[in-house]
Amino acid sequence: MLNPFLDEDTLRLSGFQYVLGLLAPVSPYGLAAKRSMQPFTPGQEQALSKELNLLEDLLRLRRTQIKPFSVLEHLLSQLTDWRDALRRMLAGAVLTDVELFQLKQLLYLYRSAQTVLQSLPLQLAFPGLKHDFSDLEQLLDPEKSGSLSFYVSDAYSRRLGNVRREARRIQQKRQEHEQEQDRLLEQQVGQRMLPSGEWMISKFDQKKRQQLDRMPNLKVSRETYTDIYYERELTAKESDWVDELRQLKDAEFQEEERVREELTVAIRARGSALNETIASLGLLDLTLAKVRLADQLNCSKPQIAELSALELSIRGGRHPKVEQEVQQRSRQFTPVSLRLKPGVSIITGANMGGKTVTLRLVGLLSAMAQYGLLVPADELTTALFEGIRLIAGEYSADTPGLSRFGSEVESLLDVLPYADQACLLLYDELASSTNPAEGAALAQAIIEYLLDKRSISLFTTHYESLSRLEGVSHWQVVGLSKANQVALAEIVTDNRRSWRELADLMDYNLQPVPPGMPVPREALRVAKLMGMPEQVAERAAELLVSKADEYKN
Amino acid sequence: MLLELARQAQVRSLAVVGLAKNAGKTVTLGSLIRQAQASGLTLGLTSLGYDGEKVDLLTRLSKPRIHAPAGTLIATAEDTLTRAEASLELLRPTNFVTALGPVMLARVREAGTVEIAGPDSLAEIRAVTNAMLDLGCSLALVDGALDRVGSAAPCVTDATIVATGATVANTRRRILIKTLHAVSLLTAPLAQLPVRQAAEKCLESGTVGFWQAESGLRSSRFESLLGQQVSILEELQDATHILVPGALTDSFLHEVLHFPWLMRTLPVVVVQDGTHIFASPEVWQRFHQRGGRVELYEQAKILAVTVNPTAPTGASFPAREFARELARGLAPIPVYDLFQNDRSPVSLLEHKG
Repeated sequence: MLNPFLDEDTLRLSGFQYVLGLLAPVSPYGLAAKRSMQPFTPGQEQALSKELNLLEDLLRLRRTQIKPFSVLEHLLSQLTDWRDALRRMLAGAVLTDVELFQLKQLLYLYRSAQTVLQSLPLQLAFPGLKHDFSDLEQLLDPEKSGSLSFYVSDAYSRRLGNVRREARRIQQKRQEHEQEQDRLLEQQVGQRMLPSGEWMISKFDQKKRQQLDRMPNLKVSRETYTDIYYERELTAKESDWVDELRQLKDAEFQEEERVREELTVAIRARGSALNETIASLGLLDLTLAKVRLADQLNCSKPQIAELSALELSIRGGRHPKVEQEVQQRSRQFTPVSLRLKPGVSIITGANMGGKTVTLRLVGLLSAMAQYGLLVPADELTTALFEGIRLIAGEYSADTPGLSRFGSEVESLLDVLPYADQACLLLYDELASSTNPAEGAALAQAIIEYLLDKRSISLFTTHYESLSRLEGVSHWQVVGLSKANQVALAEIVTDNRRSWRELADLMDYNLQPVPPGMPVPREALRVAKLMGMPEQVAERAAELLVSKADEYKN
Repeated sequence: MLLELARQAQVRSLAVVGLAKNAGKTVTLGSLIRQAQASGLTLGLTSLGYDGEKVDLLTRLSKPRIHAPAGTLIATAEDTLTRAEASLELLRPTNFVTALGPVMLARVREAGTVEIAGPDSLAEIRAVTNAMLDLGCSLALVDGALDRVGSAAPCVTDATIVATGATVANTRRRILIKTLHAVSLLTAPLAQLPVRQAAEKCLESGTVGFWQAESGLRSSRFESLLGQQVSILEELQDATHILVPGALTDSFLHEVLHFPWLMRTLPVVVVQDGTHIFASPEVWQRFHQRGGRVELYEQAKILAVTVNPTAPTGASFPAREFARELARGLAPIPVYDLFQNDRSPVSLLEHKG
């Protein structure tokens, strides 16, 4: 089997990577679900159709009432990633305060999302969205305040309350005692205590120094060049309290930890349900992201054909990335319609006529459908492929030293053994970077090899000889052949006009061509229209006629 | 009392910024916290700064640790929560992520020390101080810094306390000058209405603008003053104000003084706020002596200056004398020497006896 389903080149060149970039779940779980997206494979037609039906229903619903969708999205966007906590918990660790807090938030968001989902007129069959965690929610709200905050409160443990109360009581006593002692000492020293709890005496005041040095409850804390600082010694009572407070703080922490452990045990018992819910929240998020993408790209539901009837037919297909680029130049993308069957089809036509865009669009739309996405087309019918390959020979990450021709051959070696499986193979100008005679011969041989294979193969080419092969379906870009001749002539006379105007006159529509029709020769015309010097253009036209035999491929 | 000053001025958020490390910022914060506790007020605490200064890179501990009474609200990164001695109620997550994890809002339930490492940007600081005020604190304190670009806490809080001290410079005179300079940058005059409006546009578009009373705002292609000084002055024409979206540096002020034809009508330079001015005291003064003027789009309100007359390295000055000198220079802004007296400001007059 062709593996992976899409290779790097196809992913990038078809624009599927671009479309995946637009697919934007809002929660960490949705992002994880997106990362683990897999294509539906032959045999899973029904599952895919079910998924696509759901997306179509949701899309329709979203277009009539956006509110529940934006509420859901808002709820999902607030989810924090609890998977590490779950893993820690299942491995036996005690949950931290932050993790318990996050769980409380998670359960609240989940319950809110459930309410919204129940209000929708359609059922989402994610198993994890059926669980009820009100027991855990109650557990995390011991004071039944309904607040979303979390605190290991006294309500969890009588002992905890006692320890904290005792600590507060001692702290209070200690403060009162401290103030009393400080006041007393201030009187004895005859000077106000500094905010730092010190007394500062000038080093040159011998009398005062002697007085303070003799006081048993004072000690030197620090010195500068000019001053000396004294602070009060702790009384025996204070030392005891300090010890006691330290012990109480310890006891408080231990009791808190015991409570956390108790909570963790109860939560762990619901571990698998939580796991399922988290996974389902991820799928919900991803599904909603798919619906948003479908709305954004104005998508429709593809029809999934059975494998026995392998075919791919597109009506009004658009390539979102190219469409966006075209629209940025205030122009319209010409939707693509064509129908492909097992065996070989070729697209010929003028340079800059959109052949490559069509090829990429075919790859993109099939990939999208097979990954369970609605597609930017009026209609798409496709069977499920074993794999999709776009062979353009212009990029090879693994073998940077390889020439274009070299990397094409590499790709062919990868793909040809699988040609008799249900694959979609797309070749952009195959063998056009080597000498025309050999290139055409190689291309023809490959086409002949593919003619009776099970795969659907689509070629863009300038090789005229290929269109004459029997059994090959032939599509042609209308190009300039029907263009307004006056407008064209204008561009020619003013040969500094840009190719943008040429693009306006170009007809990007595809038309099926009966066998034996010649490939249109528009390269010279296009070059001339773009401003090729007269002398060169004329000479090329002349050569084309006089040496017709030599330039025939 | 510092806290009383804030209450009288009806300040809801207050930044405490140090002019250098060990300038006594922690003492100032501690003093405010004690005073709030004594008067039964609830404080909110957070900090702003870049990781380098907020977090000790070796220990990855944020600094400083602060003793927080029960009821205090804090906005701090998750990692610091586990190291708190205080018992905390976790209230609300935020989307603000720091090197120590996302910032969380919490309430101190049992008093103890806490580490504070708040968000990294001004907009985020504004959001968490507002959140803490919503949650019921009467004053939100922001532990900030002033010794770095962008650490402009004074501009997101209602008022600011500047902490200065012996670590700011080597000599007494230099500390005095640096402190007076920092305060005068933050409190430079506020741009008035038509100019202010034009300045706002320039701040939004991020381009230098020229302003003149009759013709109003004329925008330029310059995104900052840096390296463009001469070209900008060439395009000045009859403009009376230069509106600057980014930093105003020494070299620009210096360059202006080298154009004799400018001297008669020196243009007013308008910048966003005092933390966008990176001018040395010398050039700043020379510019002003020649009749130059810098105006601000946003002016910080300096509530008080606190002074720490000792440095941990041992340098110290006759504390009272130094504090009084500073107080005279800064009047009417009150100066507090919190080491000596946290109840009243340093007196401007000599003590008798």
